[in-house]
Amino acid sequence: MKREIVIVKKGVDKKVMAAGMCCHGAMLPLIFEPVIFETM
Amino acid sequence: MVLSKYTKIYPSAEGADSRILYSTKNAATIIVPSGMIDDIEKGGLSEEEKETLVGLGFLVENPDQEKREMLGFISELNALNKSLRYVVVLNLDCNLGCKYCFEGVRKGKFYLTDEVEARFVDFVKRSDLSNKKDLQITFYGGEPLLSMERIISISKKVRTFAESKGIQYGFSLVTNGTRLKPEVVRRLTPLGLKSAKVTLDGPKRVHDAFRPFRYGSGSFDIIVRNIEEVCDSVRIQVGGNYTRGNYREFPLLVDYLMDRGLTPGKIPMIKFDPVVNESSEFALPDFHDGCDSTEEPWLVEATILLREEVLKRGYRQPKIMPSPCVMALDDSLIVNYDGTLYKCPGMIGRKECCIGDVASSANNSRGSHGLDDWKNEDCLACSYLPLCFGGCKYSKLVRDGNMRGVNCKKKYFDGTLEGLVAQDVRYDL
Repeated sequence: MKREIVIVKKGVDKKVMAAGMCCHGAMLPLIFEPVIFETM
Repeated sequence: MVLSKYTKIYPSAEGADSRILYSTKNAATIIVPSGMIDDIEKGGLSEEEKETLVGLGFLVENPDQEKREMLGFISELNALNKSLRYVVVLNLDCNLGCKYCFEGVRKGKFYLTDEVEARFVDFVKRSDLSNKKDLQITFYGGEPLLSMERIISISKKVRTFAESKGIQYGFSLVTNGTRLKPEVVRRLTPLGLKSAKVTLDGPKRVHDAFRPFRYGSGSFDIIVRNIEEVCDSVRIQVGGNYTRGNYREFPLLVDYLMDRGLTPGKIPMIKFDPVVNESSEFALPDFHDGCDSTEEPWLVEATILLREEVLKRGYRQPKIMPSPCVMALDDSLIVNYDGTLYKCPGMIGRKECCIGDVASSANNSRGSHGLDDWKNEDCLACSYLPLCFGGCKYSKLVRDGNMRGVNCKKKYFDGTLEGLVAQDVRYDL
């Protein structure tokens, strides 16, 4: 029987990772989206 | 084919027969039948299953090769980075008297002068713009809106230069929000204002205790009113800094903002972070309630609880994915009011962290700041490496007095990542 792999998220392109940066003080969830220039 | 070292396997809300697989190296997330995990180890996958898992990064041919690729991860992100970024500390003055201000005794009537501005603009003009699409400035302080005319003056010059090179210019503010009036936004938007990060430390009672004006009265009502008046004109991110003693009250702030009509349609993201203690050299003498390490157990509960409370009210949160620390980006610098250069806003004024001056150039800080110290067998074998890369150097410096070695976040991720990934799945982040 065929088993299903449910893809919740395909994975983030490295170009997207490169556009973000960690904010000062965000030592915890280190992730910081490109808050300032997301639209640029 | 073997399971990638950078895979985490967690229980799924769908039941005991399924598991969540999360890749720390690319944030890919899937739900699979539990039996598939065993079959990965036994080599019992179908070709189709294998192809899907390889494509998503969960299966790799050669684990040693995967480790070698991880060594080049940050360099790859730097090569892909199309932005030149400066954080400009316009002054170290402030109209608030926050109890925990990390700039502490560094604060004072110190302002970026005409002379430093001229040197900074020349420095920008000398920068390498090959491969860049945009030039971004974050105006920081102290309180950047005490230097309104400086923002205008710098932006006019840098914008003209950027446009002459065919790249975009934009800037943001990290402001306490007390001076973020509609007139300010109207003046700054044509010059490139994209967003403002404003801090609210919980509900009014808590915020006003932690972030009063210097003359003593509360700042909460003024800030909220300003947000209401400008949020249709500029993108506002609300941040908040919590302590062990007050984080449980922060959801009340989110409710209050919603009641005031500041719904996710008006302010898309609210993000709370813990107050970090400063070293005794710079800290305000009466504040000791910040955290020193990600290993403090209460942070696990606080992180997951506050993220959940924000998400369930419909506001966005950053996805859990690798993202470089500001220090790891080659094309990112902090410019202090006096023209000295740093890699992290927390390091301004620390002589041992200064890496140059706008009058000359920035030195390479990889060695002096220990930015490659995660390149060792222990870290490479850690499944959390792509979310950590050695942890926060600033908090390591504050706690240990040096930046050498890593600031390991394994315990923190052991406690939080399962819950954070479950949130990402549940809220479709």
